[in-house]
Amino acid sequence: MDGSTFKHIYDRNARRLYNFILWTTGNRSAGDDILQTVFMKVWRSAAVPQSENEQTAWLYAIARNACIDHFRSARKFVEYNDNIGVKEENSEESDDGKTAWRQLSQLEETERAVVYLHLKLGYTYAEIGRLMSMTENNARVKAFRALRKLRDVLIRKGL
Amino acid sequence: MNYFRPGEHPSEEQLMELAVTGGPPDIREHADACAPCSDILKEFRRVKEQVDSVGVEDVPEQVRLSILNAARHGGGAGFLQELFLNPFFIALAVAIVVILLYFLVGSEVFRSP
Repeated sequence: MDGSTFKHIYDRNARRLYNFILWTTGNRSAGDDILQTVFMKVWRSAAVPQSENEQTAWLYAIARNACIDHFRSARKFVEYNDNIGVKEENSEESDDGKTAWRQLSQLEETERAVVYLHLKLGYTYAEIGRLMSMTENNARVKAFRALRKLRDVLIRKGL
Repeated sequence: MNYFRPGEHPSEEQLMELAVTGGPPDIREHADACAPCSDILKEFRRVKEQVDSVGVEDVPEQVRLSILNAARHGGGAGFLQELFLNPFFIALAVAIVVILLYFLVGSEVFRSP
């Protein structure tokens, strides 16, 4: 792969992949490491899918596997950072973000990933199924379970 | 127009989808007119607001530079590198080495006195 193709793939996908990894792992330093691992795999790869859809699915598969490897190799509790997605510290907005991010820690990694893809990126369940190697229905069920868990937390906390 | 019969309600999943993506008009109209469904819808809308309040982060500059620099200096998968990692190529290379060894050494060893 030549440098300009690589940079094009990076520019188009890095931010979304980075946030996908952050949502999955809940850990900033893991996010930094895994993103680098993903793009080094991309760079070393001889065959890059040509169509945009295939390329996106391929990148998310690499990222997902890298996250799984990370959890396996860590073999310990991966610290869940409480300030991911918080833009400005000490503002009302940041407090909401922190509260929401803490509530997201109640979800399983896959559920957080599905919520990110559906609510933040607007992917359909069919697309999420393709990106996460699961059926469309499985993606739908995971999203529903995740949002119901979050709703229950809100109700319990009276928010 | 309300497509739900009296006593019939959309499922929680349908109400969630309405809160998240804006569902079909019949469910929206039902939820507007039905207090229990409207309450569930409000709860899911609150969940969506909460999720929306989590910002999207930029890739840290040092991570971006590290990736782009490593790619610039690290050398990607060239044709030869890919060839040497190919199991068929490895098997072929081993076979050729075995055949050469046979002709160079084996033929002497196995020659009858």
